[in-house]
Order: sequence, then structure tokens, then C-alpha cells
Amino acid sequence: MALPLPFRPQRFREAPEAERGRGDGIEIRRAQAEDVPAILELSEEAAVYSMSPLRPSDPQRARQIRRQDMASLKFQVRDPQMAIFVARTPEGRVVGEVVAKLDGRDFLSDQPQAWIFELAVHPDFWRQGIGGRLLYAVECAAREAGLECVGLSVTCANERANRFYDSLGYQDERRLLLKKLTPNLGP
Amino acid sequence: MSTEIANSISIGRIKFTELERAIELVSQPSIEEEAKKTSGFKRTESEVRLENMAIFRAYLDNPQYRVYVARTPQEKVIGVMAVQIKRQGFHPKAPLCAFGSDLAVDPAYRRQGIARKMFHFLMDELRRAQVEYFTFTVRKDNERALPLYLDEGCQITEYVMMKEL
Repeated sequence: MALPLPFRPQRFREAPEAERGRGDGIEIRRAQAEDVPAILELSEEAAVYSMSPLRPSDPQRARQIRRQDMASLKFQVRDPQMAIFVARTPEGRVVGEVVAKLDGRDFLSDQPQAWIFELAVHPDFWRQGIGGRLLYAVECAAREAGLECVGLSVTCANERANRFYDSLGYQDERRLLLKKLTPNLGP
Repeated sequence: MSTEIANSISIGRIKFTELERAIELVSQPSIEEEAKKTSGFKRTESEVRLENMAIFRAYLDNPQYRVYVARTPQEKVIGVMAVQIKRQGFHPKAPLCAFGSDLAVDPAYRRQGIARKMFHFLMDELRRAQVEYFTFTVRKDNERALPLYLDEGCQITEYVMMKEL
């Protein structure tokens, strides 16, 4: 088993003033253990927005699944291969989070890339440029790790998110298709 | 479109002796051409082949994966597809989901309904295995594959996006 690497907070540059938008006083910083409960809460809330209309599911169940998926977050915040950032108000309230890994690979080209698992901003703080600043932090961490690409997947029903990523230079490359299999009907 | 060949082929689980031919099909140049359109594709042909070999060899040992081949009446393998079946999520009653990883047809046998027949066969197999969802990714400009899948009742659910830094 590999020994855990010593935790080194990675440096990142803040987005240029012009790109910051409003959101005065919001600080973006690398997530620490104390931020984990707040990240989980935001992430569960965001899970509802990520649900695909093709898979009818109970929002409560979606939250529960997201919580299970994020069970290892408390270890991941110490993992140098992860880039996890939070947006904090001056009062210390976590209002945004992004979780990405820096050791991903594209499955076709095998090119090393960062992969964003999720990004969420509290609805009260939407339209203040916080999501863009969180993404910027991940992109900086990826560049610092020598990566040339950042990838993510987004539910096509979430038009807000699609416009957001589009405006920040993300291009859609592949489509994820889904077929529902009904037992006794033909294809 | 001639469907004679599509009607004559038989589809079944891959045999160990057919592994090399299956690798040949998934590593064929026209598929690699598609892959090369993906940004950052830097591997050589032999690297791709070796990697596919390792991947398919691992598939055969893993009960989660199923590899099917289409054979002509002369037992020549002209198509291959691979799928992984697993529960989505950690809950023991979470829905069973199938993830498609490959579907390749010999270029000499294309446009004869073979991929469609293989797709139908796979859907029947998945239904028999109580799978509820079948999901896979396709390049957005793959003009051969995308219309076929949409026609077969698949729906686009997510965009896989990337940004070059």
C-alpha cells in the first residue's frame, strides 16, 4: 500500500479582477477538513439539479446517493491528487464548492486530464461569478500539475449549467446516450 | 441495404480463440481515425493494439463484463461488442445498469444492418439480465453511430465536455 503523501496546500492564483464579477468579499480557498460538512450539504442540494429527466428518481433518493458517493470526501481533502476548493463569505460560510481530480485520463486518447466531479454554488449566491472563480481555481491547479485538459460531464437538461460551461470555453466532445430497457416490449 | 448477411449471422459470447480477431476489429484504422479526432490522441497503432489486447483480456476474466461477437455462417468474426453490467450506486437494490464500451463491425460488412442486429441482440440479453438502463458515449460528430442509436430509442442525456488549458 502506498504511504499517504504529506499534505501540501497547492498555490493557485485568484482569477483576474475583471473576471471576478460581483461576489464581494467571497474568498476562494483550498478545502479543509472543517469544510467537509458544508461541501456535502451543497453537493446534496446540487444533486437534484443534476438529475436526468430520463431517469425519474426521487429527489430524496438522489440526495442519499450523492451522500454515499461523497463518503470519501474527508480523505480526499487531504489528497494532493484532488483539487477541492470552496467559496467562503467573510463570515466563514461555505457558499460554493468544486471537487475535481488531477489524475484522470481520457479513456480514448489516454491523455492525462483533470476531471471535475461536481461544482455547486448556493442559489442565493448565483450570478456573482463564484462558479467561474471556482472553475478557475481548478484550471490553475490542473495547469500547475502539468495537465493540458479539463473534462467534465453535464446533464443536457441543465441548461443553465450548459450555458455556464459554454461561456467559459468548455466544448462538448461526446454525448452520453441512455436507453431504458422495458421488460416485455420490443426494442 | 442488403440484409441477407445480417440475417445469416449468429451472435454469441466470445470464445477465447476469437480474442485476437476481436482486437483486430476494435483496433481497425477507421475506428482509430475516429479516436484520433479526440484532442490529444498521441498513441501509435501498436500501442493501441496492445492496450486493447490487455483490456479485452481483462474483460474475459471479469464476470461484470460481457463480450459478444457476430459470426458469419463460416464462423468468421465480423463484429464485436463489449458491455459492463453493474449496479449504479452502492445500494444492493440500486438499478442494474449496463455500460457499453465497444461496438465494431468489419469495414467490409458495414451498411448491411449488422450493427443494428447486434444492438437488438444486446438489448435482449440485457433485458434477460434484468438490466434497467443501457448507457454509453458516442463522439458528437460520429455520423455513422449516432443516428443508429437515436433511431433505436437511445436518448442523449449528458454532454461530456472538455477545455484545453
